[in-house]
Amino acid sequence: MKLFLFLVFSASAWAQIERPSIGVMLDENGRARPVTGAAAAAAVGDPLFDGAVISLACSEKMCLAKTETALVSSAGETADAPPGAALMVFSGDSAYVYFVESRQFAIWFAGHLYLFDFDPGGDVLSIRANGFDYAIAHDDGIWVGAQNLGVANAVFLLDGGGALLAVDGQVRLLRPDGTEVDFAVFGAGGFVRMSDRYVEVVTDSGTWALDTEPDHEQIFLLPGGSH
Amino acid sequence: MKTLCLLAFAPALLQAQIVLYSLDGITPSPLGAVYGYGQVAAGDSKIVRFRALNTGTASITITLLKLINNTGAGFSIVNSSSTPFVVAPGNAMDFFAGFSATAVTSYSATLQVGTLSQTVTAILLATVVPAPTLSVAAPCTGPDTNATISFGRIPQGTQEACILSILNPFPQALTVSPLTVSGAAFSTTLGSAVTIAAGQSSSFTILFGPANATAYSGTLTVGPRTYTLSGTGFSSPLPALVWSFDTTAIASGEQHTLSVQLSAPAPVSAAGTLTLAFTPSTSVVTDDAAVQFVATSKRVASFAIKAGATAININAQPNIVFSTGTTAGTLTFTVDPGIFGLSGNPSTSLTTRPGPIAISSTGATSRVNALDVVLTGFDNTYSIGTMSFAFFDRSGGPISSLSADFTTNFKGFYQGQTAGSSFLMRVSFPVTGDASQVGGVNVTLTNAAGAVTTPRLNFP
Repeated sequence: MKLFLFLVFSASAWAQIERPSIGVMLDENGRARPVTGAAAAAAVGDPLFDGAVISLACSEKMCLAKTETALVSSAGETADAPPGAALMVFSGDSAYVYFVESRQFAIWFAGHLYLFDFDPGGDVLSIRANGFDYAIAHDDGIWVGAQNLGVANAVFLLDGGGALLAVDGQVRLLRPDGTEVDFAVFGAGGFVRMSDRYVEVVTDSGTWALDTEPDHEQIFLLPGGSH
Repeated sequence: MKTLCLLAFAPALLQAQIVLYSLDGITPSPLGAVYGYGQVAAGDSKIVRFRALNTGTASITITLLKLINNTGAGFSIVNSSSTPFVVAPGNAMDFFAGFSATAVTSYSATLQVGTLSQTVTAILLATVVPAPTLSVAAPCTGPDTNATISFGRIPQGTQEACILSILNPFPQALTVSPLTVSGAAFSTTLGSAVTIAAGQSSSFTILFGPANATAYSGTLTVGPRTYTLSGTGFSSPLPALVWSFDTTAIASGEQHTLSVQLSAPAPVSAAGTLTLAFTPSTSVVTDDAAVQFVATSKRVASFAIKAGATAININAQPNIVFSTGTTAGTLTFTVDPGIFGLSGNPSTSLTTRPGPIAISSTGATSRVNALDVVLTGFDNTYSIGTMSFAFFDRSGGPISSLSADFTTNFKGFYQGQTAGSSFLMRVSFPVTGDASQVGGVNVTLTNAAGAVTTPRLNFP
């Protein structure tokens, strides 16, 4: 017995179909390229930004690219920025940015960069907007708050909690509930946020995409530049 | 009187403008008073190119070009410009004089080239000698009209022996000299001369042993006759391929690894290309660009193998990853070793079979007057369209099951598509009533290979 009036008119249902996006990858030449299609059967498109990109992070809504001297958004906004790499993570329409060389934090909002002082107590390896977590390198491992994730070559904090760790011969996906999923990837040395769901795994011999969606975890080679 | 004679000849000497040359190939040599053709085998012909060069500062008109056989016959002008022939200063008139005779004796002729005021002459000499007849046994062929003996094509590093026979057709013994073989790949145990009794023949062997895969030439001199020896070495074809896939049971939307080996060590270092071709099993599309070698984003890769090795390196790696795309069809891999050749079949194929729609992500959201469902996946048959939606209330009870046909939408989406069958579909259902009471939906998608139903998609 229905307590509400519910009518669905199938004849008036409508569908919009498009090619799915996986995200944006940073290729071996420092170009940010959109990746579309299906996992393991993806295609890369033309570069999104002019010139070489040092660091990249993308969400479903936008991409931020760090060039040598500027922070550029996929909406065309540009702001002068300290040199070198940057860590970027999105929080709604804004983004937290950490400039690695100068150890400077900033907030990107509406095309402007607002620097702010904050001492994380070490070299920041990754940041997460949710609760403003950050991973710090110490001699005994990588720490996120009071949690030691262990020794790793690289770390990437996932939005919904959890993290990716590049350890010997594999990439380890740590879930907030303590479960782990390991992927055999040799030489992983860095991560790039391709989208809300996919993370690029950069190795010396190729570039991979890791689907971090729970129950859909898989890793596959990205086209071009891989061996 | 002597002074008068000198004065009479002086103008002609001063105006001497014609200088004769003989040419060996393209190199001219000043022609002396006598030019020797040397020994010419009875019945053979020998042609020499001559040049009359105008060394003066004014044009001359050659009105005389003549060969006078002093010993009956043998010499003749075989090719020349017709006279009178005007030659500008520094220019020349070339002509060819040939000799051929059968009687074994010596011959001479006088060559005359002149203008109205000057004539230059030279004596041409030739000697006809008895020449043996050369024959060649299989596998060699020749001599042909260009006096070439061919050893054909053989694998490099091997040897081919050809037996040649010299026949003395004359009624007296014949000493054949010189008797030589030259050329990097040719050898013989033959002496420098051989005497053959009347009517008899003498056989000898020439070995052709090409060290490399290339063309070789040499020279065989048999008395007055010279022959060109030719042969080509080629590399032995590579042994048959052994294809190794991580699995041969492949499906769409996957990446797999291919490695290739030879069934035996490579006889030579070789290189070439490995190509991937794709033939869709559907007629809806003509290709799927996602079927490719992932490393290169292309359907071609280079390969190389070292002599003595069996493992083929592809793009400098021991294996290569390829994507199966999102279209059912046949992937054909082909090795092209180019000039190196290959034993056995150079190709192998794998097939991705038509399958139910693959769903990679789902989502469900509700608005005040609408329910939205998002589906991402691919249909390797390109026949997607028919769907059913089973709605449930918040307690899991069924509300309604609806069917919809989006075949036309997908046909339009796939029209001209060559990037694969992946899709992201947003379906919206206008709702009358309290849409928030709808708790979830199961979506069943049907294509030519079957139906697939999503897990329960819960509306927030």
